[in-house]
Amino acid sequence: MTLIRPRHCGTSHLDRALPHQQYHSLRKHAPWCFCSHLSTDGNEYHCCNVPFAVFRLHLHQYRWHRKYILHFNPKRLLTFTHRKQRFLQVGLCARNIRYDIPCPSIRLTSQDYIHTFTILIIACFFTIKVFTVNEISSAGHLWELMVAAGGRNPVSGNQAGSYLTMTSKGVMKKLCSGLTTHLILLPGHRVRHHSHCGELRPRHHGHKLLHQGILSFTTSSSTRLCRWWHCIFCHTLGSGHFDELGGVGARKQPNLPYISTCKCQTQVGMRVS
Amino acid sequence: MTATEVGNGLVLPYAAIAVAGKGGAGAILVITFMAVTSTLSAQVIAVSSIISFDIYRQYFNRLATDADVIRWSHYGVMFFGLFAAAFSTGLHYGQVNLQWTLYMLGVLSKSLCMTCQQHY
Repeated sequence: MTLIRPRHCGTSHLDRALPHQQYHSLRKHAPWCFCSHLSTDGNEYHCCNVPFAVFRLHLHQYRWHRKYILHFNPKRLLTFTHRKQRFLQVGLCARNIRYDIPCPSIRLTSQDYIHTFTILIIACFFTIKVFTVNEISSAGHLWELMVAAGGRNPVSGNQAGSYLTMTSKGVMKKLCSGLTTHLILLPGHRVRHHSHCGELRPRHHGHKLLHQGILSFTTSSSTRLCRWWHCIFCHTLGSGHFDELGGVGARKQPNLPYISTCKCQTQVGMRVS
Repeated sequence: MTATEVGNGLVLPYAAIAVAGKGGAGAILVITFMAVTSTLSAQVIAVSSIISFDIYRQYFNRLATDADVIRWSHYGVMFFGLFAAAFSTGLHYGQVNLQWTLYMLGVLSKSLCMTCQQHY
């Protein structure tokens, strides 16, 4: 592989500059325009054997002169460059000289893939080799070994010291606190009196809930339970149903946003006794 | 294994030795060699092309000949080699080990994935 990679390998500027119909028309009537090769200096050249007049005719016919500039140098080579990028040589029209220089730098050789192929083979070897070891023998047993290793040498910071997760300390707590914040905002704009705790401000309760870090935000999953209110701010007060749910109750209430995770589409609310 | 060994990314070699013995250790060496050479090759080509084509020929010498561009490609290879060596040495002395690198990669790349996903 050479160090120089042509910037515009494969697709020529002219190909991309032309509309679809003009492209196919040009392919039919002026196929020499597409006889492109990449020269050793990394630029892409179009070579042709037609006279300059014919080439200029084609150039104007397809309005290339708006986009490209023609240059005629003493070597009787006609080059045309992009108007905005003067020094990007996009094409070359040679009247008598035909460039036929293959560019080896765009060929992807086997050297480009040998690294990946070797790594793939070794990875396959390990994959097979692991399951031929008697101590592991199967994917299920490997899972059990991983779980047992977490119990034997727990990883600090992980849930239950497991090896099967990354650092997850307090993740659920933070997640649910953030979620509860949104839930509180549903009824939170209304100030209600709570006879069971004497609080008047739901938001105050909400902050307390955040500080306490209620983990379970589960809503009830049956219609019967959904008819119950429960204070989501004072989770210590709860009926028998909602104690199991971690103190967050739910009630079905039309025309209000609901929690999509709840099967019965309930909205978290509070019980005002 | 000590925490230092874990931080230096020696979990995989130890696991390979446990599974396949010395052959496993050799295979890990081959994997590392292949990955490093492949990555370095791509990086060297990219950096030298950027320096020679996009910087040198674009801003400094627009009429550069092929020899000029190739010479600046060589300069780019030398510059990137020195930079990569110095940067990795700095990471080593800055107590940045493989574990930190992998965590950093995960944090950066995954957050970018989520951003792109939301963007689209």
